Amino acid sequence: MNLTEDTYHLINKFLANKLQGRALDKFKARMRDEPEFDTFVKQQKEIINALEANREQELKSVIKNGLKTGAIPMFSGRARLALVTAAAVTLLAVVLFTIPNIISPSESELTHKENNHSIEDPLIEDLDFTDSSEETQLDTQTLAIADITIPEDGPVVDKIAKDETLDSISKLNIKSLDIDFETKDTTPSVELEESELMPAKVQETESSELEDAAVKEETEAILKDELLSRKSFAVLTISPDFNEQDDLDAEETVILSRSVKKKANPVINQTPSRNISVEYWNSVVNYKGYKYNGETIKLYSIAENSSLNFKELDNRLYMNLKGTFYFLEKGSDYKRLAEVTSPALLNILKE
Amino acid sequence: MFGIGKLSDNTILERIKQGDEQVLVHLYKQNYTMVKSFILKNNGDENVVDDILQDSVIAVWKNANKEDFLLQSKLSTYLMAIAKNLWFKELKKRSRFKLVDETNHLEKGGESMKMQLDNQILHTLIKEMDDTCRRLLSYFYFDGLSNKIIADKLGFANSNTVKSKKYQCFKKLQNTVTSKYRREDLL
Repeated sequence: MNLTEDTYHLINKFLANKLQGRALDKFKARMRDEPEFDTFVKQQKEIINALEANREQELKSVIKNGLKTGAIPMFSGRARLALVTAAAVTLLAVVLFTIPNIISPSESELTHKENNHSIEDPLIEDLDFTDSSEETQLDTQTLAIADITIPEDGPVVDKIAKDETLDSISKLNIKSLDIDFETKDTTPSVELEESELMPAKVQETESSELEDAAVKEETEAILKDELLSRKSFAVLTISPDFNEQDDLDAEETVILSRSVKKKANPVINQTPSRNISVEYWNSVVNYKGYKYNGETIKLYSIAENSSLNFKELDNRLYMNLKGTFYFLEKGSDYKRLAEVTSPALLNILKE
Repeated sequence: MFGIGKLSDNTILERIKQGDEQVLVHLYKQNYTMVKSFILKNNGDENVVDDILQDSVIAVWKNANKEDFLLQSKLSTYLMAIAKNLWFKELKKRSRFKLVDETNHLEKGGESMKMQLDNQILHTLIKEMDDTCRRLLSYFYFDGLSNKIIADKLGFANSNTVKSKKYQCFKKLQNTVTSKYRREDLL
């Protein structure tokens, strides 16, 4: 037996869980009755698994190679900020403690003499604000130098100052690291799902926790849906004349009865009954749909210049978008556009 | 490639759909700290961070290519949820593994060796395949791309061409496998 193209595609469907109902039963029966067919299925599965594993390896190599090239630094936004801050503080500390040492003690003494100030009691000097501003500045500068260059106290003060600076830098680093870890989620006792690939809709509780953690990432920008424009449209209410009331209940049967009526009474009244506000939104996830609360319709990912009109029939709102009619359901949820397919209803709407 | 700045979720998803594999590196780096911190806080060590994150990034890649994929949270949140599941699964596996007695493990050793060998054989044959065929089959089976997108990416006329080419490539690979090795070896 040779693997035909049809058999190949059929096996693909089966392996992708796309076979259902009778087709699936038939397939399983064939596997049971035809050993060679069964072998084909198993072999195809084996090859597909190997192809998938191979592709996975390929992608992993891409990641590994990408990391080796180091095009992007391995630091997150916060870590980068912490490093930059630490570097800035270190630089500042170095500058502050280097400048006084550059000026020699003899120079400081000379400055004191030039300003005719006594260095016997530096505290009094320090409190003397009666001089001009320039002199005062010179004095405090001189005092600072004098304090550092005093043989007994100098090195101690210097050391303490340096220790304090280092301490402050390390504190800053520790604080940054703390923030790093605090933002991460800690939910060790979450029930596990067997499926490895998460569905797009993440569990609500877990998602909210994660959202909180992620929101703390200060460098990430949160994108929101954007309101592009707002327009007002008149709603035409279709009100055909009904004389008889059948015991038909479904929309389809009402429509059918109406289309029958149409022959007898071809005039269907279309009067503008009310205005409806339409908002055009840009969805950040390219969601195409709508939300209708009875007064306002929010349209997502629909061009503002698209031709649009609205008709109402039996209190049901229909939107004509570029010649296609969609039924708009009232509610608080986001919905996808549902095209009207019933020919009878379309006949009435297109009147 | 991407510079230091971050890419928006939309841009990343768009690039995944375009098949830009370099975006995986970006996703990896962008989420490294977060995933690492989580794993370290939950009985993990740095050695496993890489594996879990790589698998998570690849899962995002696969899912984002699905037609019905709809992102309802931030991409980093989504990736983190996958990483969490993978890590908890790994922890579960580890705890189960401890219960397996050594004798049982040794008995199964020969079997797994054979499987490993078969996989190696298949991997070698796949690597020896024609590049277009390998990409086509990988895009279809692993990336889950539709025939139309594959046609665009590989420059085929239309999706029907992809469909028949896919069969031809698979058949060729299957023939190589069966000609070189006995079929039962692979089962």
